[in-house]
Amino acid sequence: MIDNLVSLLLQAAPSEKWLFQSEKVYTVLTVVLLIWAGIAGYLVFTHLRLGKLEREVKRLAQERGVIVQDRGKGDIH
Amino acid sequence: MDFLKRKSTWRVLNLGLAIVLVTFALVQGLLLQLPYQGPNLGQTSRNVFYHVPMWFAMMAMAYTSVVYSIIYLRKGDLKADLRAREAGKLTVVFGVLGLVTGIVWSRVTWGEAMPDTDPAAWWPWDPKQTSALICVLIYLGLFLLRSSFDEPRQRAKIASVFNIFAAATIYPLFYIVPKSLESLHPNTGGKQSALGSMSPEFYSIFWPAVIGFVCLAFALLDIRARLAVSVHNTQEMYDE
Repeated sequence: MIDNLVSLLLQAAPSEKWLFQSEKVYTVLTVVLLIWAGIAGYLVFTHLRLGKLEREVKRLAQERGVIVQDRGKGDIH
Repeated sequence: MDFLKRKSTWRVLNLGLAIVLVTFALVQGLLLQLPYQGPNLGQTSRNVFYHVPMWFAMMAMAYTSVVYSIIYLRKGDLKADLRAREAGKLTVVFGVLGLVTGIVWSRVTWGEAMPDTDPAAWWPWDPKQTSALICVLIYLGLFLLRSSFDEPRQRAKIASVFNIFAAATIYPLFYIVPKSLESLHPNTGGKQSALGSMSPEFYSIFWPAVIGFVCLAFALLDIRARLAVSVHNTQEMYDE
């Protein structure tokens, strides 16, 4: 079985021909785009969650009477 | 025009630009009919849209990191050190991606005739490739150095000074050293820069890809830095 697979691979045409053959490159592109869509979506999701977290930290700090910002030398009080 | 003053506007614009341009680079980079680059490069010439932007992103992060380190040294703001740290991490991430994409590319072009068992087929010790590896190792050293200090201000000060020296090595390692040696890369030794000889079709994808990946690096930095600052603020709040 492995021998058959190797002989099939060896018979493959040069890359210039097979890359666009049977539009198979679109399958590769779809896979790449799906992965990228997942990463981009995750980035947007993290961006939104982080905004929520920042607001929550600010609210908690206000409740505790703590000012979360720089005072002079960068110490956060 | 008040919305332009808001940080969130720039964040959304940057993230949006990154998503649009990287998607464009992926689609056009794989589908556009490009001028034939000879039998050795063949279709792998498309790698230029993904491999080179990794180095642009790496340098953008390295120089951003050093700017934050200088801010820390001038103002003593620990948040600037946290941002420098996160930018330093992304420098390593994009540097490693640049190295790995380069290894894959060089295997099928420079090392095409060599057997898989020959280490030179994977790593030909090309001057530019080796300089890039040294640069990534210097940035990894920054994190080893950081981990050896417990006191935050001492750690921040030493790391900031180291970061300035690390950033100073980028230009010599990426341009001066490879230019003075014979190398397989373009724009080294007596070779012409690949950017100068690119056809318009290549340019139409290359620059959007560079801008897209640099924007992506800044979007990642923004998220990582905000998270680090939020954690820091929360710790400070509970320490009160």
